[in-house]
Amino acid sequence: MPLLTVEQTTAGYGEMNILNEVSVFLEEGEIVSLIGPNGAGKSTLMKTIFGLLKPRQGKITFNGRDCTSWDPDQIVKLGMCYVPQTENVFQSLTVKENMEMGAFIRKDDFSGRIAEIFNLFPDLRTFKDKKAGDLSGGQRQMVAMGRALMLDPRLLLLDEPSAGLSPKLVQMIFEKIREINAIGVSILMVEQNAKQALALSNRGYVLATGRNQIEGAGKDLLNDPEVARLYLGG
Amino acid sequence: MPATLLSWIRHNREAITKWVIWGIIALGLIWGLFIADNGGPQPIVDGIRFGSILMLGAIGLTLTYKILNFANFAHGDILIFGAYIAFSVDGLMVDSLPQLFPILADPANDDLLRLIALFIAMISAVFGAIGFALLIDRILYRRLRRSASVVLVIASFGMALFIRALVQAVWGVATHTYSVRVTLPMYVDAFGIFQFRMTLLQLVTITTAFTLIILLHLFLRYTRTGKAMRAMSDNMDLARVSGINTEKMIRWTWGIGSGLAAVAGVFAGLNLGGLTPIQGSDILLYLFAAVILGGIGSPYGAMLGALVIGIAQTILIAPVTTISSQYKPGIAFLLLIIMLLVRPQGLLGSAGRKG
Repeated sequence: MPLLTVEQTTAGYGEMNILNEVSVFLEEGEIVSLIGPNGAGKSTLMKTIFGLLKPRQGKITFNGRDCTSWDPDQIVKLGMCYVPQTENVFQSLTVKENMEMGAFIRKDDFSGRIAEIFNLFPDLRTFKDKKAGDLSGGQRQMVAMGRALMLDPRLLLLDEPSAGLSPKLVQMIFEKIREINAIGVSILMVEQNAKQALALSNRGYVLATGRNQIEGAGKDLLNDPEVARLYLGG
Repeated sequence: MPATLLSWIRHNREAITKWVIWGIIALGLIWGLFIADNGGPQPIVDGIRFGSILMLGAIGLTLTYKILNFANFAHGDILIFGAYIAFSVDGLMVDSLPQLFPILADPANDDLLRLIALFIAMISAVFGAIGFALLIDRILYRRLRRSASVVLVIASFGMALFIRALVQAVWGVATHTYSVRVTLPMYVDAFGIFQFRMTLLQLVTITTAFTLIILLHLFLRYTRTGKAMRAMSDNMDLARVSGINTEKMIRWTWGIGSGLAAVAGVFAGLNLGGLTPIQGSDILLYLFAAVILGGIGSPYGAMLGALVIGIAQTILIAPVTTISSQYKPGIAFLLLIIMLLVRPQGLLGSAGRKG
């Protein structure tokens, strides 16, 4: 049974439906990418899965439990964490405090977990007492991912982790995503860097105008002429 | 050369304005302390006293602004509501404590009795104001969480009128005073070249305010709840995504803001010659001035702004005896207007951020 399923889900803001009967699933251990043009509803789908937006129709299950329309503070308890695309760190808090906020629902001692995160992102240990707002874009992205990993989730949702970063940093972030996946965290991500994302992914979905268009294994989508023509820039 | 200097100034305009303002504050302090004829430490001590009352009140205003995203016009009336609760409890205690503890009935212990009564009254005021604020949130503001902030502002304005009318209906419009004798005992103290008088009341006002502020600082800096409150004021969506129970944190915000406001209200009643129902709206204007001066949304800015306004009022007026002290409030608003013109984000606020 898949770890995450989204079935025939419709959601939107106001009168508008951004998502129209979208269906997506993810098996435990997979990296799955959502690609597609701007306005395709990729970020909206992430928000809907995480309970920041309530679906109008459809069903979302995680680990076999129906969590449709749950609130985010309930969903994190299931073992799913989310890194938004923008404003994804607490700017006026230090790096260490950001990690503590990631573990807010844990009442036990989580200093060991902070050490593990700092091993994964060694830069963060150097900056642990700096305010997250004073860090560079790449460092901030690491803080954001570190915060989301504090609860040791089974599934991590990443909304455009490489947005606004230099090519070198994009490479580094994708490398980290591979590492995180290797330690057993499944990953669902939205990416503009479709080629690199698909190369890394087990499977991918192409969304357009809020609907499923094409889906398949990451490598197949990379070589699909239709996908290339539409979204990979030839 | 002048061209580079000019572009340097243009680039660092914000930092320069900030340091000029800090310089003016420092010069004002030096002028008030050492140069002005009628100056010296006394006006400054008086200013700190008023400033520390404002400080306690301003915290709640700035926290609700930052976390709930609206300017709470009912905050001054919550403050005075707390002060009135203290007034009632104070009267009750002065009557009933001597019956419970005969030793307090002894006229020799009269001052002690009144102090104990006031202390109990102040604690009751804190809990009364917290309870009232939570009730208002539950009934009114909670329904408006997703509304535009202007809707919340208007709602709070209506709530302010309601609370004021409630206070008038329950306690009347006459001036009430606490039973404690505010002028006794008198302390005269000399510190080196500085000579100033301070009553016990002034001393207690200032030390209580600063103690509470330090406790608040420690709370926000080191506790789990305090950190979560800061996280929430930084980024509400990310706080929700991290699993922080935002409704619970909002209750903490109301609790801290209105609890401190109640203490401010009691001290206002003690220091400003009694309680009247309209005092809430008078103080609210000072609180807004303090909060905007310090940088709206920043708790530390609110503390600083409150002290600057308190001190500026006394040191800028006291030395010039030809100006009536009735013009004092004008200073606060003059500072507010200047600040809004030159640095709208306030002393500790930063430009470009939300709020």
